[in-house]
Amino acid sequence: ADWKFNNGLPEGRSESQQLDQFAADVAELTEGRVNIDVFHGGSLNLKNEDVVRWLPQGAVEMGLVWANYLGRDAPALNAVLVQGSVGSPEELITVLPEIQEIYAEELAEWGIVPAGYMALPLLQASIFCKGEPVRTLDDLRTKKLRVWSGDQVETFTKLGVAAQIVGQTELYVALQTGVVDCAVYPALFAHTISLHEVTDYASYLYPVAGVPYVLGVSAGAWEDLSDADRAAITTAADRVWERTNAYEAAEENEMAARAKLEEQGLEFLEPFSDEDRAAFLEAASATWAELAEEAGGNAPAYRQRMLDALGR
Amino acid sequence: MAEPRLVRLARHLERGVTPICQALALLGAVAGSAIVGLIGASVAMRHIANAPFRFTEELVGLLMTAAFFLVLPLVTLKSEHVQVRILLNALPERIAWVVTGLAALFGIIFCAWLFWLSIPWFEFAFARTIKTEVARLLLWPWMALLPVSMILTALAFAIRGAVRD
Amino acid sequence: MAGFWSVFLGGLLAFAGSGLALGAALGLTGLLILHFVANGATFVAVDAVWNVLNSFTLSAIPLFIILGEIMLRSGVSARIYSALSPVFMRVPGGLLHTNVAVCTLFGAVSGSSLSTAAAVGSVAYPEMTRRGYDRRTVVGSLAGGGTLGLLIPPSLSLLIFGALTETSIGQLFLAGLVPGLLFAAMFMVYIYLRCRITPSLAPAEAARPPGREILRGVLGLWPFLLLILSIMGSITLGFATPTEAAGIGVIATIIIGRLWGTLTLRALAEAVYAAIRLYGAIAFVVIGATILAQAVSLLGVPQAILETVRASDLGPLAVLAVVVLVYLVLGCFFDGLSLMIMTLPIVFPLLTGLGYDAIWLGVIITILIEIGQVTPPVGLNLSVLVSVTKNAVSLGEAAKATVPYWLILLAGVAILTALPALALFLPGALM
Ligand code: NA
Ligand code: NA
Repeated sequence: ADWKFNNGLPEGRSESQQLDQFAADVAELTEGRVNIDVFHGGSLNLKNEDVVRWLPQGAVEMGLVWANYLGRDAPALNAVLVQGSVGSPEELITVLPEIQEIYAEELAEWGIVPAGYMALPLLQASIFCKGEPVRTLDDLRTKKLRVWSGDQVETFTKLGVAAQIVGQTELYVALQTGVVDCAVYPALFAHTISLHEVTDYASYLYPVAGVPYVLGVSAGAWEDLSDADRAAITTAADRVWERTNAYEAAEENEMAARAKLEEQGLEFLEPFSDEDRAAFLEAASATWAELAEEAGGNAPAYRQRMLDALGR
Repeated sequence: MAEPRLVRLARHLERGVTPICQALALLGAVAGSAIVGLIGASVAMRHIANAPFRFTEELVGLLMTAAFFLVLPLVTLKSEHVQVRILLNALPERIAWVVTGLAALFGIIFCAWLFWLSIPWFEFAFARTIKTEVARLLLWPWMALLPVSMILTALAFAIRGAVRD
Repeated sequence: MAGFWSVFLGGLLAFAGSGLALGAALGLTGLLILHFVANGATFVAVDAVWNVLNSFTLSAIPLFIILGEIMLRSGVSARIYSALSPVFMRVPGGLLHTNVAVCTLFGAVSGSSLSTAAAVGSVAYPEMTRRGYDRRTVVGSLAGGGTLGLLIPPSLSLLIFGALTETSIGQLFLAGLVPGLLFAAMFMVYIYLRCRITPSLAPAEAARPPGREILRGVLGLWPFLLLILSIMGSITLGFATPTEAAGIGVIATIIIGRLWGTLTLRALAEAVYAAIRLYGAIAFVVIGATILAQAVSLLGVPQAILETVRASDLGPLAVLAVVVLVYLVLGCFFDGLSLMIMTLPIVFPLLTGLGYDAIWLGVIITILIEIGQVTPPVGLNLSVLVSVTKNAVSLGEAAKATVPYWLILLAGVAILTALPALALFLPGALM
């Protein structure tokens, strides 16, 4: 079988290289019976946000499914974890197995088979600002902040911060000209949109609730395979998880990314104070409850399972 | 020579459909004005009240989509579309006349096909009461414009195909 | 592949050739490809249509058309051109030069060449044809000038290029500036020469008024300068994003049209109604092109073609030449941005692997997709302008009138290949 795999991430990202390795493993394990062609950078023109539309209907056989893209079509999946749901990298690692279970249950109803998962690197969200240093919520309240999702707007609004969503393609110019003064962004990926060119200071605020990517297979394509080939794909996908579910270098990578940004002229300030970070997490927790309630369906139950896993 | 019955029927139909298409296009113009007002208000809110609307981007997108589907039947009825006429101009008049009829048929097929595809697409959103991500606006009323517009546009193609003057 | 090509070329030829609305012709071809070649995945067409219409960046287009219609109907454009035309009286080409100049200025505001062509075209075309300029020559200068919107920063294509390849957006913007200005100058030189050879393309004005009067006329344009300042200023001062600036521009135009021109509520309503109809005609081509692009990209056709180039083992210059050729051919059938997204994952590693500079490549690809914006049948800049002329200039005529600009852009690729420093000097010096 010749399969297409839609990957919206740019080719240069380490995730994309993981997917290339996955395709190579599948070809080897199935002895060439299943060939997966990975298309990077969204070059098939399929939108990440539409994945529960095109994948079950079989526009392509595989695609990267990420719950954060699904706030419109599958709000229950999106509400499993929101930004600020976890207070530390350790907490995130704790809930990863439970998240995978929930995804597998929920995606079955959409006609998507999770062949396996790919972990995000541990990301730390910092507040990047231009002009003046910002490292307290009080400072931030006098600024216009760019965020990337609806739940972040809710959370920052609760904290009295004027937050707005600015699209990825408009962010650079928006910061350059001052439409927004600050942006929430992980230092690890800041270079991808040249953030250091349009901001001067950064300060760490919270750990990103980086839910894993699902290596999704269209249910129809999955059923057409032999048991042996299915097992081979699962094995290759498990290897992706093993390779990516490793966090020893996380702190080192973060520090290296920060050092690189400093080299390029950006100043990394002290993190936000413990009180400020606690206030953020508290606001986020309230947003999470509201969002799960609003999404309805299984969403409140999923949130409860997350809380149980967190021991809260 | 008396006009064929089909042409007379089409003219009749055109008289009936034109005001509907014009009314929809007018609504489209209202949507266009709303985009301007919304952006103005949003920019003002950001600078005066330091509280930008969170829904501007989504609502502007929906209004723009609505404006297009609302105005498309009239644009088709009045033949205001961009066309390639090189081939047509090179053909003998009688053949060109036939080809123009074929073109209308192709137009009808396109609209009918898109209409057909939009039904399950609409049902998907309707059954799940899908909303926009940030403003939580219900999507299906906006999406319903697509199939409606396709029916009227197909009708407009048919009228233009029958009344070729 | 044979099946694909026969449906693709056969469909386009039959449907577009029949004189069917171009949008329907492109869309129907796309649906047939999806149905017969892409395993019946026609369902992706509806989402593709929905997504492109809902994109915030596209919303600048109807706004700029509304802006143009208001200026026209309030008599503001007539006043502007009356004041400007004596200035250019003695210069062969006359007001045609203002098209290029205003497109350059506008390029510094807008990130897309489509909105640039729509904005400048809807103001300039009616005024200039009224003054006796050759319709096709006007359209050619606007189509050519419109492409500057992508090269002069801000630029949507350079932003997407930067994000997909992780190259510096600031450097890309700086690298586009000098080539953009160079193209503007070359366009003007061409207009000058062309109108020297055939003076009838631009009308001769009766008598030259005294210099004092000219100056007074130009100074009288201050409300218009205020409008330009309000759009450009609102962006550079961070008052609004480039997309929002279009909305701000419309509001400013209404105020100026009321105070300085003859804008009535009725004229305003008529302007919006006319603009929305124009937008409907333009957007129909856009959605047709989107369905076709979705069908072709789903099959991975451009990727397959470029893979063949990669496997061919040619030298760096030969590979570049073939890539340019591929873009020229694909550019006929696709609009710029979808073409770029389809091809970048292969072209970028291919050419940077051969030693080409990443920033330079961003500029070259932007020029190549600009060329695609003005090649028929799917040249969206051309479609916008044909709509603006209310089909008084046909797509074929518009394309023919744009050939010289097309050649200048192509020559620009050669010049930048020979002298990469033209693009790279500025980012090197400033960043
Ligand atoms: Na520009
Ligand atoms: Na083209």
